[in-house]
Parts: sequence; C-alpha cells; structure tokens
Amino acid sequence: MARDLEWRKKELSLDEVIAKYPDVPPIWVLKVDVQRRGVVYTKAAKDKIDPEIHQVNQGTIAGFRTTQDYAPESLILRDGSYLITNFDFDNTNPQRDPYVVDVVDDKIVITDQGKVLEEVSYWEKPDFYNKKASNGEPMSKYATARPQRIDISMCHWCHFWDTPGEGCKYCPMAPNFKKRGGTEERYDVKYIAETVKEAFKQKGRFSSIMLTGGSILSGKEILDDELDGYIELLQAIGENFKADRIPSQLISSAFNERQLEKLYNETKLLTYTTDIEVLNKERFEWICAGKANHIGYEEWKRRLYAAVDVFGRGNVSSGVVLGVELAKPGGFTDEEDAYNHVIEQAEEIISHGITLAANVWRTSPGAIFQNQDTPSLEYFIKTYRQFDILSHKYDCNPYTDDYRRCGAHPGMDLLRV
Amino acid sequence: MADIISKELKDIIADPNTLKVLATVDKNGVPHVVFKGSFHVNEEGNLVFYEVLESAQSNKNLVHSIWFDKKVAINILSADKQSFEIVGKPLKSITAGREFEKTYIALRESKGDIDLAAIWIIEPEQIKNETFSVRVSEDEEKYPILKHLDRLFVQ
Ligand code: SF4
Repeated sequence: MARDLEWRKKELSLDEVIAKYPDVPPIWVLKVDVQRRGVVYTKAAKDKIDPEIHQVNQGTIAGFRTTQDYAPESLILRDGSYLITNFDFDNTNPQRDPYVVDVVDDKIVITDQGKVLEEVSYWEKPDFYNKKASNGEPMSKYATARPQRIDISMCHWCHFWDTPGEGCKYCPMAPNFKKRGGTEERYDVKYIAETVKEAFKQKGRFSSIMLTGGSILSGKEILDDELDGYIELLQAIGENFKADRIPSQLISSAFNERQLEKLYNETKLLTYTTDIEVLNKERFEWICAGKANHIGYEEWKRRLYAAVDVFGRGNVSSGVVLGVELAKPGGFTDEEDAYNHVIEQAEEIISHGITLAANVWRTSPGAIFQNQDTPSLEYFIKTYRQFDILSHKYDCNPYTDDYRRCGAHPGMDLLRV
Repeated sequence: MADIISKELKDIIADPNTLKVLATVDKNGVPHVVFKGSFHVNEEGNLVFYEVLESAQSNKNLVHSIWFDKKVAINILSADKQSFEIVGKPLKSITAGREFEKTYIALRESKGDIDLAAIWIIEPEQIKNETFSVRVSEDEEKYPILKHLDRLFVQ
C-alpha cells in the first residue's frame, strides 16, 4: 500500500495524461508510468515463468535489484519494445501503488486497480546463462543480457563513493555492492572474454554490446585506469570480429580529448556515452558531487562535445536521471520551473548532435534519495515529448540507447516513427 | 477475431509467385506502399511478414499504427490475376526471443547475408475481392446508372 493513500487525487491519472497528450502513444505513456511506479507480480503471473526459457531476476549489472524474489527479469510490450522492470522500489511502503502483472484469459497483462491495460511477455534467457566459464563459475556472473544486448560491467564499485558525500545521491550501485558484501571490484578479463565469445554463438540474439561500470578515478591523469580497463576489455571482445567497428556502446566517466582519441584508436568501439545525469549546474553539483568536484558540470558538457569530434555525430549520447532535479531539499520546488531549466540545457546538448538518453527517476532502496518523492507522470511525459521534438530538430538518434537495444530510456521510443 | 482468410486465399498468399503489397501511412498521413514477399498466414489466421530493415518506412509506419490503433492494407495479386485487399491492424512486433531467432536463422539460410528487424503480425479485419472481372460485374449489377450511354446504344 502506498504511503500516501490519497496520491491518486493529487496528480493527473494515466488516462488523463493520455487524453492531454494525444500525439504520444498511450502504450508509451503506460511504459513511462510503469517505470515510475514499479510492478509487482501475482502468483499466476509468476507461475507463467518457465525458468528453462525465461530470464529470472538476474538483477541489472549495476545491482539495481536486490530485494525482489523470484520474478521475471523484465517485460516486452506488443510494439516490440522492452519495458525494464528489473529495479528495486520500496515495495512495502511505496510512494505510489505499483502496477500489477497478472494473468487474465491466459494472457500475461499489466493491470491497475483490476483494469487490464496491456498484454506483455517475459524476456527470454540467452544460451550462455546455462554455461560455465573455464574457472567453473556461471557465465551469467560475467555478463548479463537484455533481449538483444549483452551487458558487461567493468567495475562493480564506484570510486566517487571513496570520499563521503561524493557518490551520486540517486544511485544504489555502490551501497548495494557493500550491502551484499561484495569484494571483487573487477572480474578477470579472461572470463568475460570467454563469456562474450560463447554468447555470440547464439544467432540473432545480440545486436549490440554495452560496457559500463563504476568510475575509477586513479591513474597518471584522472580516469586513466578506467580508460585502460575499458580498452583491455574492448580489445579482448574485438578479437572476435573482423570489422573495424562493431555495434557497441561504452558508458563511462567523461574522458578528455586525449583519452577519447586513445579509446577510439585502440578499440573497435562504435558509440560513446558519458552521463551528465542532471540537467542543471547547481542541482548537478548537489546531486552528483563527485562528478562536480573532479570534472565539473561545464567540463562534463565540453567533454561530451569533444566526443562528437572523435566518434562522429550520432555516435555520442548522454544519460540523464530525469526527475531527480526535483529532489528535496536542493532541487527545484516547482515542476514547471524544473521543466524550463531542463529543456534549455537539453537543447544546448542535443544541438551538438548528442541524444539525451533519459531514465525515469525512481527512488532506489540503498540510495541516499531512497525516501524521496518522484515527480508526476505528466512531468515525465511533457519533458520526454520535448526531448523528442529537439532530437528530431537536430537529427540525432544513437540506436544503442533505443527501444530494443537498451529499453531503459522510454523517450528514445518516440524516435521510432 | 476469427480466422477470416479462406483456405483458397491462404494458398494464394503462400504461393511465391503472388505479389503482396503493404500500404501504410506515416505520422503525418503520408502513404507508403511496398512489396513484402514474406507475407504468409499463421496458425491463428493472422498475416505475418518479416521486416529486414529496421529503418524501413513500413517499419516506422507500422509502429505508428500499433501505437495509435490505425489500420493498414495489404493487396494480393496472384499469378492468374486474382486480387484481394485485406485491411487489418498490427497486433504485435516480435523483436527478440526464440521465434525471432528461428526466423532470423531461416531467413539467412534462404536469402544470404541479411538481417531481421522484426516479425510483424497483422490481424485481418476485412477482405475484399478486387479481381478486375469480379469488380466489373459487381459494379454493373450495383450501379446500373454509372456507365456511358454509348455502351448501351444500339447502332
Ligand atoms: S558515477 Fe554516479 S551514477 Fe555512476 S556509478 Fe558512480 S555514483 Fe552511480
């Protein structure tokens, strides 16, 4: 049960938002709201899981799901897009009631207050999940899968958390690593390479490879060790391919020009992402204090623009945790005010040919912001809609962050038409 | 929706010599027409085709149709010039999973080095026989007023 039982009376409902914005697809508005409110599964829905076929509660590479029990990894909608639900939310006392995945007429459906809203299916398990690396460990330890993408985490700890107050306040990755008693920050490249090689044997399964991980600040120059780690991994992966570039994405800290050139020249990486996360300088400095202290907001943007010169227009994107700019007490206090500031910054970044891959902010257990309230559904819809208008205006679409290779950024779906 | 495609029409659709055209509109209402040779009817009586190019206009337009509950049209022209128009709605786009992979492998075995973006499933709602001779006799019978007089004039 939601902690504010009256929450439905205080914001526009799903149907009201759909009616107010008729130019965006209703199924997509639902998708955004499911990400915002979370889902729970009935027993009937769980009984539909076939562990031989479906991917079950693996948790994302960032350890965003630690509290769910036996549940499908995530969902697929009728339009072929992926609905990522593998994240934690406070399911004993959530801010708003989560949607319920149930079975009606033998179909798996998303429901709210007993009303059937959409049919869905469950993600299927890749073949490599049944295999072991040469050290006897399951290969699923070294890579995880989305329906069309293989994900690798280079570093399971984020070194911004080495200094108190510097970890991003919405992020549960480092706290969860500690909570589960994690000690192995990085896995041996040998086993990751074995896993990747095995995964690519499955024809038609993977159309992209994504590497990411926590920030590593050390090195001769800041981030040099992180850069070297990714280059080593990308080179090991690249050995499997004849092509000069492979459909791939690195989501890393913001490298400078020298580091970007090295990354591009020494690997087969096709696209580069570095997440600015918060589209406002003051809120960025409060929420992502580590990023602000070590790189800075303006410098982060400048490095993004420099990445376009290295990787090419259309091959650079930046992640955003949309909505976190309204966190308390340092955030905007008014959604309209936040919208205006965010759109102004978004246009500056998108005008450089950089797509903003924005996640729906949800309050993850373990994160500093775990007890915050997230914005209204209308705020997300209105902002995503404007991001889409700007993306069309400046002609950017990095396919790596889209509805099927990634699926975590609902705004990207609108670029499908 | 019941299986409304007759056995005879299913056979025509399955014939590789049959031409199959898909008509869709984009978000601005601009029409797009394209041949889709892979159209066939599945066990549930729905039309299925394979979209090999993710950037294809038909793929974008079908996404728009499934999002906003819009119809699309398919025209079938058999080798012996029988023509049928099927109007329907996209039900589902399959972009991953065992069925997707099976189709991807089969397509590559038969067509060479191509990719697969999506398997589209379209539910037929209406079928109309558009064969020229059939349409002419329908018209003659239903609209006796719609013809030039010289055709009836006795010399
Ligand atoms: S940089 Fe911020 S968002 Fe990324 S892993 Fe570290 S704390 Fe989390």
